Amino acid sequence: MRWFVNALIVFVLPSLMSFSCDDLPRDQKGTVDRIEQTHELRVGLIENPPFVIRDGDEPRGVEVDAIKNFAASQNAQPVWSWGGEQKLMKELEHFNMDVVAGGILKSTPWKSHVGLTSPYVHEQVIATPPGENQLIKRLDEFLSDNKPQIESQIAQGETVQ
Amino acid sequence: MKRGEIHLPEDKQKIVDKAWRHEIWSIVAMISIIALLGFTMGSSQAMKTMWLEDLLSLIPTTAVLIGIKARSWQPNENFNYGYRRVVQVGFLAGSVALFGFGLFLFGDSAYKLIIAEHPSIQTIELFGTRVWLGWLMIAALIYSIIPPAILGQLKRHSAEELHDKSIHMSAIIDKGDWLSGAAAIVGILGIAFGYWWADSVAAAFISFEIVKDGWEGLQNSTLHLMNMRPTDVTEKNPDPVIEKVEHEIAALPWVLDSSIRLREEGDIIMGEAFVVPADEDHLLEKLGDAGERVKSLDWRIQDFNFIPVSSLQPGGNNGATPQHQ
Repeated sequence: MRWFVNALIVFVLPSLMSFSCDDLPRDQKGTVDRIEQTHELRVGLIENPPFVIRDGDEPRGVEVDAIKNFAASQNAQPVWSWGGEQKLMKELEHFNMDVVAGGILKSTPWKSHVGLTSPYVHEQVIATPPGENQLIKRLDEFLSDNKPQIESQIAQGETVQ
Repeated sequence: MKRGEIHLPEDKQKIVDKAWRHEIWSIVAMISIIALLGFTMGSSQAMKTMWLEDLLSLIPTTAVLIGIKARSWQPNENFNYGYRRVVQVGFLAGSVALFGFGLFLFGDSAYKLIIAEHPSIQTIELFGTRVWLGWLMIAALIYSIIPPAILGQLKRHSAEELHDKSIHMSAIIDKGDWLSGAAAIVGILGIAFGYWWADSVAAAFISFEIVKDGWEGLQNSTLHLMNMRPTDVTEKNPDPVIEKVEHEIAALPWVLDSSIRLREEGDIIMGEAFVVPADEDHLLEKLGDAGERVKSLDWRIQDFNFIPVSSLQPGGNNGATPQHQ
């Protein structure tokens, strides 16, 4: 029984205390720290209206807007790069990218290679590098706070199409 | 009371009833734990391993439960020796499952460590705020630790009282369960602090526990199905009852030479003594008296037979080969 009490003290107390710590969970490769230092959010875009729309140089779309606002909330500038899913997900897996957007579904076959946010509407997620749990948490919080706005944008996008 | 029927002393029967309740509680608690862990599992390897461990522990625990019930089934026309071994059969099946899955999970965790998989854990909406799923996993794991920690202790106590190795094994599995839960908590905390390997290392530790449980169960049930001589409840030392029975019989004045063999049927002990009587006067009375003496040595000796022979050598009037000392 004493074992058990010791276990409680060793494991439970720190985890209870950490509920108040905002910086937990930490990233495993420090992506958020890097974004804060460089003020740069490297975004991979896969064309997929209405989430990511490509006409001209400047990207548009529901997820593009959301990421722009997210970057602003983190004091960072988005740096866009266009590409196919295969290429961008590989870059993300190797931490050469911070987020990848393009109407990715939570059932994506890449889910065991990269990190995913919680679905922000329906099955839609945004991909992150694997194990960057602080970045996922911040994205989840941002997307959840802006849910009404995102939902109305999607509804508009669908009528425009 | 018919010949061959098995009756435990009243105080032991009470412990049997208690052991039955412990196993019931164990199964109820485990089902709720499995549901809760399954709900929060996410992509943590340690959680997945822990979940499978609890799922697999249901098999041996159920086997013990059935085994306890089967104690009250008396021998009948088809099963002349009763149903004391039902639990060993169930245990063998459960142990094979634990051992096999344990090896698989160990390989799986080692592989994730080698390819350096970085576990990603999301948040979920709870009471209007986003909560990291890792904290919920830890809460579920804390819940999963408590029942096996308490029940394991209670079971170990009744296992010793009843000298029952299957209940003892069930207590060992409970210990493995709560130890694994603690390991999984460390793994998730490791993720929270940004150590990707903590999860897989915890999972490897848990799968090692599963393999150990499986291996011990395999040994335990195989040795009993093979009629190994009685050992103490931890399986380490020969049971002192062997020596007691030997001395009791050798000390009888009318016995020239003797040899015994004993086997365990779950908690109780059965066996024979080959005795060479000095003379055959009143032999039946003497044998009956000797039988009572042996049974009074220990409540576990429930079925003990005397075989009078002219010599312990294989050429004697009885063809059976006595046990080598």
